[in-house]
Amino acid sequence: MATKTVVYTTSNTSTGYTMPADMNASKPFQLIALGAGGGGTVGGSTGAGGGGSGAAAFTSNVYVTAPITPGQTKIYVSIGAGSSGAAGGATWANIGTNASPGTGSTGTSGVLAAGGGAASAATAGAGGTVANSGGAATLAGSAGGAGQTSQNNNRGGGGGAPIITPGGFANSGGAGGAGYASGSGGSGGGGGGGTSTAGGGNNGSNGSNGTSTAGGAGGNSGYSSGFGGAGATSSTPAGNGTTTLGGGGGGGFRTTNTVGGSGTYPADFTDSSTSVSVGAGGGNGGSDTTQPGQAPYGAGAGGAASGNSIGGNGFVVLVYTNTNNFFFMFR
Amino acid sequence: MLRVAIVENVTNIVDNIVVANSLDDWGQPGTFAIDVTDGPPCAPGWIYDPATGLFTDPSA
Repeated sequence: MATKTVVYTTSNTSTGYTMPADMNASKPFQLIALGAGGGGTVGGSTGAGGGGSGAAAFTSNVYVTAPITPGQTKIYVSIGAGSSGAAGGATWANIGTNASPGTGSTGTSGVLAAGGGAASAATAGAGGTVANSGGAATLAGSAGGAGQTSQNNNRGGGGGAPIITPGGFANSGGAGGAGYASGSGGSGGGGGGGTSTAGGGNNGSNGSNGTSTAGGAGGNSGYSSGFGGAGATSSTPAGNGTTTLGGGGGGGFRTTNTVGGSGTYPADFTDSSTSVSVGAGGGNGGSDTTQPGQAPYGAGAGGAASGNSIGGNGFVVLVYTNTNNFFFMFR
Repeated sequence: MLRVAIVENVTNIVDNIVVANSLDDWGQPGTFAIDVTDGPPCAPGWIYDPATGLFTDPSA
């Protein structure tokens, strides 16, 4: 027997998805959800704040009492979406019941992870809350970074996403860095996302604040080589987080290289059939023009002067033990 | 991939914003789905007006 993984990145509450036919329902399995990240403020007369990251939720065979018949029982999935300048959507998955398991639920049939909050003017968005989540274990998202209150540049970075690992370890994302607070300068870096490893993983680091000469660096992911991007300066653009290992994006610089860097996500969960990988995203850096694009999974977007500021979408992961095919392979 | 507003049947209040491949993928009882991939702006808690197809923020 071995473990297999199913990654869900789109909703299905119509026919529902089917629990895997090769699942051994008497063996361990885990269900993990990540809410969508919040959007940052766009425009305005003050420096725009960054969005908060979504919350994470977890349950497992230890807590699930809903009956499961592999290949027959449905799992209904709703994947929260990030929207420009708005709160992230909640993500949930429920075994056998076509409804959210509800806030405060204890994971007897599914999980619910709240979306991250949107920024409002210079005030950063808050992370998705445990109070609005449900499962055997839940973990709050991280706040974005604040914008500068006295002028309309120096914007905040997005918060990094948390994760709860299949082993039940809760690893927070880092908060977004703030825009430079004492005059015109750099925007904040995005927070790094938490990581999931067999040994437990680690928390992401906070993004750095902008300074008078540079944007703030993005926070590192929980991996030792998952670096956040460098903050922009007058001569160099903002950097992105490390590909496949995660990290927050660096903050933009006000007069030149204004666009923040993109947060990235670690390839912590890979679908056994489609090879699609997901992981807790690092927040995007703040930008004094447009955002570099939609933030990665669960992460908050940085503040922006124009265009869109879209938090990362959520996801659901099912890790299960498959049936022993040894007999069938060699008979 | 679509960005979809999930609206409660009775109140027309937006319950959630989700990702789906098709509007046909949404079938949670007591709700209906609207494609907002290209707008109009909306967020959880906003109210949908079926006559105009627009959403309003009750706190604004």
